[in-house]
Amino acid sequence: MSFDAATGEADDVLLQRFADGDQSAARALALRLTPRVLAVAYRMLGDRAEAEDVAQEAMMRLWKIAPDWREGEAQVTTWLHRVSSNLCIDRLRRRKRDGPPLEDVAEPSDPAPSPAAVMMATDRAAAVRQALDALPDRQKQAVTLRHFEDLGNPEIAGIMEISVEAVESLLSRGRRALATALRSREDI
Amino acid sequence: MGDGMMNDRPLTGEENAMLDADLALLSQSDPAPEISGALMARILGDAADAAPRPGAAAPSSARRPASPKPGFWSSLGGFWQPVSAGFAAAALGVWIGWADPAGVTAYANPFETATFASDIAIDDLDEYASLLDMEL
Repeated sequence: MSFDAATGEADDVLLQRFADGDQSAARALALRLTPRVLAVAYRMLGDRAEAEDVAQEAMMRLWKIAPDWREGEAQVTTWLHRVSSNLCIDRLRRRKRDGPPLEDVAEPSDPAPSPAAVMMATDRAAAVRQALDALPDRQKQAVTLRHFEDLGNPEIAGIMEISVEAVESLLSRGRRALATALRSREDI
Repeated sequence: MGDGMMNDRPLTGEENAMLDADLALLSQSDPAPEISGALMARILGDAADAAPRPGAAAPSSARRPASPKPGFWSSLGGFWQPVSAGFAAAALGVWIGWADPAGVTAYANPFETATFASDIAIDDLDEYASLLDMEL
């Protein structure tokens, strides 16, 4: 389902309009921001239903904070990424505490019949997904924001509330761990 | 992830390129889901619920004024309130008695004059009464 999110107004202006009672601003914000929140949540959780719940919860918190939003203090996207990432980490920790999920790694969304090459690619993607899921939460968060959201290290630092150097360290360790996991899979 | 050797050294250019290709492969083969109509409806429903109600005070992005600091009396505990009030009253009495402030004097003057005049009048009445007694 596609939505037209085109509007020239800045996020914080739309948020202010929503706080002033303009529901069309809420729609514009939801169309613009939800896909990004949903994508990050899906990459971190690997589960569509859970990712949708996180996206809804993060947007709900945005609506609630709208009347108190202070223009120029933070970027709405940074704030929203922070909230959604933290919600994902909460869920990942809960999973670890409560035990592994019943189903294993999520299957790719397009499992159409395919030739051997496509099968191999699908297998490889599943292996990457598995390796990503095995990363420690903070490394996974940094890798997701960097490689799937194409965010820069300073922006990731703002979202994770750590220094740019700490982001670089998390990314470096995360990438090394991913490469190690994928290589060990090849060796089997 | 048991390869400790690999975890301790930076990735080579080739390993970095392979990893980037793998991550790109994951993006392509398992893309992030698009927003469903149901999710959009849920989110906009939440927005409608969270929207300011008609008649409610208009929200503002301005910093809310800080709540006023508690007054001196309210900052005192239950026991110290009457004790402090007693001390304050005593101090006021001492000050009035010692300093004889102009305001208090001016306020008291009419009463003092009236009291003096009424004393004289009562004395006069006593004299008239004694005269009446003598005549009777």
